[in-house]
This record gives sequence, structure tokens and C-alpha cells, in this order.
Amino acid sequence: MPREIITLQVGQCGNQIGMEFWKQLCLEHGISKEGILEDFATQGGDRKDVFFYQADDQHYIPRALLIDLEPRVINGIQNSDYRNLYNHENIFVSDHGGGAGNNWASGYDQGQHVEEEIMDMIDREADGSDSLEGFVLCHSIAGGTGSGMGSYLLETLNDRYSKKLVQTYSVFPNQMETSDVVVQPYNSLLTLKRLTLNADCVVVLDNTALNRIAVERLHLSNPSFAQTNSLVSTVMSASTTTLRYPGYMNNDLVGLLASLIPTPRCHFLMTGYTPLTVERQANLIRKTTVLDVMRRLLQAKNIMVSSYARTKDASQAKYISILNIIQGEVDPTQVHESLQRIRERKLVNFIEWGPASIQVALSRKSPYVQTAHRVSGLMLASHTSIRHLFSKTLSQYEKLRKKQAFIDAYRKFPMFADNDLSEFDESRDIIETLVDEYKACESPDYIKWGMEDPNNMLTGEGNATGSLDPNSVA
Amino acid sequence: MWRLREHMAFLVRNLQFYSQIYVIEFQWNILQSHIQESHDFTELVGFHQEYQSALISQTFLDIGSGSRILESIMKLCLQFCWNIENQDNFSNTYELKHIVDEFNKKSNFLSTILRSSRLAGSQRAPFLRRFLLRLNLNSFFEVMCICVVYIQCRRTPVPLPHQLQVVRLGTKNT
Repeated sequence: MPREIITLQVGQCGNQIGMEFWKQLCLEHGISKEGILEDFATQGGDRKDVFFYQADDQHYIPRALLIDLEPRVINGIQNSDYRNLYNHENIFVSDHGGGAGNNWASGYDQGQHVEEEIMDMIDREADGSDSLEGFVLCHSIAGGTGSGMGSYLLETLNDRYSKKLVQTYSVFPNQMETSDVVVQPYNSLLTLKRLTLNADCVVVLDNTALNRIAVERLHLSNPSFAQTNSLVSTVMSASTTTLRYPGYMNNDLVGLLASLIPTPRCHFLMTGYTPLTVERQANLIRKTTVLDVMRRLLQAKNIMVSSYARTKDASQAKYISILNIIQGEVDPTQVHESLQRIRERKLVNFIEWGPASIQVALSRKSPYVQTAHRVSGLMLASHTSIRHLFSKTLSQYEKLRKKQAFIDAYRKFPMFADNDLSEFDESRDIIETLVDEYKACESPDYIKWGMEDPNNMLTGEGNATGSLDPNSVA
Repeated sequence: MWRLREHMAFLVRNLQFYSQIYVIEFQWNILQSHIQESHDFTELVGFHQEYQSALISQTFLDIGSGSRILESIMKLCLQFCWNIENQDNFSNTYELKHIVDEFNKKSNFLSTILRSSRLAGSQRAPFLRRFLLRLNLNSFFEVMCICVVYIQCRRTPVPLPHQLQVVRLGTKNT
């Protein structure tokens, strides 16, 4: 029985990485650019129906909604080789096409205005699923559409599809250079509130780290957005392989996420991938073993979140959970040797207040995609150093807020009318609490911290602060 | 509540992986190779019986205490799920506390059984070590066992500094 997933691509960044994701899935499943199954791929055995549905004319069509407030990127998709792949009824570009002006409030407000139209599209897609499991949202948290409209969609999905999982692939802004979006701390903070309260799982994709990887590992002197987006789609396709090539475990999204999110509020995950190849490295990588992969996934240079490598705090940061998805020709019993070696060498600093482990999911590879390496791996991990990303956003926000810089652009919209900036204050409070919680996770007596408000947990009110809905993971 | 769910899920997940990969699949591959090479039906019957015996012993079905404790742990998990699904507000905190206590007690007992000398000498040993490694990768259950013993002796949940030395010694012995 399939557990379908609907992908929502919001904003320029969301659609760019979504486009790369669907390219990758078509390659892996032998689906042509027109959505037709290639002759060499008809024997089946994979589970295309998680992400594609089959139309009457035997087309495979992505279960995807392409949503933007300006037409440039979606026009690019509609003029690309893949223009016949997508369902044209699942594409939304706002009538005025003027975008959100990098303004969260504008994106949110426009989302509010077109809610019924977009929810109709989502409802229609959901009705076409036999057993919908959840939604995946791709977006950036720093612009206007992905952040603001994405936030509105997160809240609306929570209201209307409260029993379904919501996972996001959230691109965090590059903090190493002057951004062309001066208000990104405002947008990021407001979005982080929704990611904390209305998402079950957030895969954090940090443009700072993606750029570093592109420069240092892939040797690109000046990486373009397309190149960093390609890294993102590599992560997205790798993290969904166990859903598309089912084995004994981790066959659905809830099974995948349940092991990674032991405490509901700490649902921000970081990723690592290896090998990240350039052609001339192919011969070296070819001899990769399971232990090589699992060990490299723990190295800072392969991890796509910049805060991981901060030496100042690294000694006390801890892993809450790890899932390694290993693809390729792997003997399952090799996993044991790898775990033993990792433990003997103390390569992982785990939490002390609960059981923690490296979960290993062994996934088949697509037979249609040739790679230079026999084994590759993706790591999804919950790590307490993620809090430094949030702290950075908070400090950047405080600087802007203190000077009231660019606040007028937000006051123009209903949420901030009459100089009511309480939404900013509330968002800041929620993210500060989140930072404190991740910090508390580093302590052996975290359990006591979590019990400060036991009634919320026991009465179920804890869900209001971002807990997983127990029914969705039961 | 989420903590109990995570502990249960952790144990069930690792038990599933152990049973599926290290027991069933491993033994199945052995049986398959015997089937490929064998030309004698009587011999084949023997191999199949070996296969079944291995499955039974390596999943602890032939140890009364082991299989009973596993069964009771599974029942507690089902009881927990039933409560979540049927009581939206989980107003019965006493029952939750009972499930927590019972689960902790039984999972510690399971850990004790799995480490006992009765199992160490059998053909289970190599695979059992793998299961225990997975369960205890961050040494949490060692700490938990010691804390439980400590609590039973002193009835105070706050660990004292000298206890940490015991924890370290335990870690070294693993």
C-alpha cells in the first residue's frame, strides 16, 4: 500500500530545488522528461507511486504543487525540457506577478488572499491519493514568498490536515557575505516560529555550509544557486530512497522520522552526504566501504549546517539521534563492524538522558543511474549545535529591531497594523525557548528541564508548543 | 509521555532490526545455500530443522523468562498506544505512571537476561553482542541500570558525584 507524499514548492528557491529533485527522481525511476516510462524501466519493483501518480494516458506526473508570487522561475520550468512532466493545473503564479518584495508580511498576506485557490489544488491532489501520508514543503526562510507564504501554508496545513505529517526542506540564508535581502533576519525569525510550531520535521539546509561544501569539496570557485540547489536535491532524493525502494524498515515517512525526533520540539535536522564527487576523484572514491561512508558522514566537512563545526562550542554539542541511509552494494552485517568501530573510537558524542543510536537504513540504488562509487550515504541527524543557527538569527534580528530598520515595510500589512509588532516579539520568545531547549539537551539532566511544565505534556497542551501529534506517530 | 514513547520505539526498532537482519535473513541465506548445494532430501530436512532451531534460539523463544519478558514489554507498548488513541487528554496520569514504571522495570530485566551467563556460551553469543551494541551505543542503559540500583538503595533520584566513577568503570568493562 503506497503512502503518498505531496510536495509543495513555494517561492523561487523552493521551485528551483524542487525542479532538481524531480529531475533526479525521473532519472532514478526511468521516467522520461515527458513523464513516460522508458522501455528499459518497465519491470517495476520500485515504488514510483509515493511521489508520482499515473494518469490515464500512462503518464507519470509528480504529486507536486508549484507555487510562486512571481513568474520567472516557474516560467523557466514551463519552458524547459521538463515542461510536459508537471500537471499544469498544479501550478500557481499570482495574477499580478509582482512577487512578495522579500517581505514575509507580504507573502503571508498574499497567501491569505489566495488560500481557497491553493487549498483547492491541495485538496484535489490529496483526493487523488489512496493513502496520503503527508506533505513536504520546499522553501527558503529568508525571502518573501518561501518564508511568508510558506508560513501561511504551514499554518493552514496544520488546520486542515492536522493528522498528516508536514516535513520541510528549509534553506537558511548565507551568513558569510552581505545578503541582498537586508530584512532576512525578520523573515527568518517569523518563519522559524512556524517551523517550530507547525512542522513535524525541518531539514535544515544552510546556504553558508552549502557554499562552503561547493567551494572546498566540489572546487567550484564561485558557486551559483543552481549548483548549491543541486546539493539540496541530492539530499532530498537520498533521504527519500527508503520510501521509493522499500525494504524491511523505514518504508514510510513516519517510520523514518520517528527515530530521529525523540523529543517533539527538537525536530530540526541537519544532513551530511558522502561522497560528494568531482570527476577526477572518481577513482579514489570507488573503493568506498560502509565504514568509510559512516565515518565520513560524521566529519564536519561533509555536514550541511555551518554551526556544527564551531570549535568554541563543539566539545559540549551532542547528537540526539542519527539516521544513516546507505545506498549501494552493502552486506548488512558490515554495519555492525562500522558501529563497533565508531563506538570504540568515540567518534560520536551522544546525549546522556535517553537511549541514542545510529540507525542504519540500507537502501537499494536505482539500476538506471550510473555512479562512480559503489556505496554512498546520507546522514540525517538531530544535533544540539543547530541552536547556534537560531541564535545567530536572533542576534541579527535584535540589531535590526533596535534601530527599527525597514519595519515600515511590515507595518503596511494587517498583521502588523496599528504599530502592533507583537508577532515579532512572540516569534523571538518562541525561538529563544527553542535555543534554551537545545542547550538543555546537552545536559545529562535534560529530563528535569522538560518536566518544568508537566501538565502541558500530560494534558496534551504541549502540542501547542510544537509537539508531534501523538496520533500521527502512533 | 514522549520520553516513554521514544524508549519503547527505540527498543522495538532495534529488536526488529536484530530479528530481521541478524537472525531471519542471515539464517535464511545459510538455508538457501544448503538448498543449492544439497542432493539429498533427508540431509535437506536436517538443514531445515537447523534453520528453525536457530530462529527459535536466536529470538529467545526457547527461554521462558526471555520470551515472557519480551511479550510483556510488547503488551505494555500496545497498552500505551491504546491509551493515547482513546484518551485525548490522557487524564489518567496514574495509569501512565504505571506503564512507565513497568516498562523501565521490564526493560532493565530484559537487559539483565540478555547479559546473563546462560546466554553467553551458546551459538547466540555473536549476534547477541550485536544487538546489545545497538541498544547501548551511547551507554544510556548502563547508566540507567546503575541509577535504578542506586535509587532502590537510597530512594533519592539525584546522583552523587561518586556515582560517576562507577559509570566510567562500567563503560570501560563493556
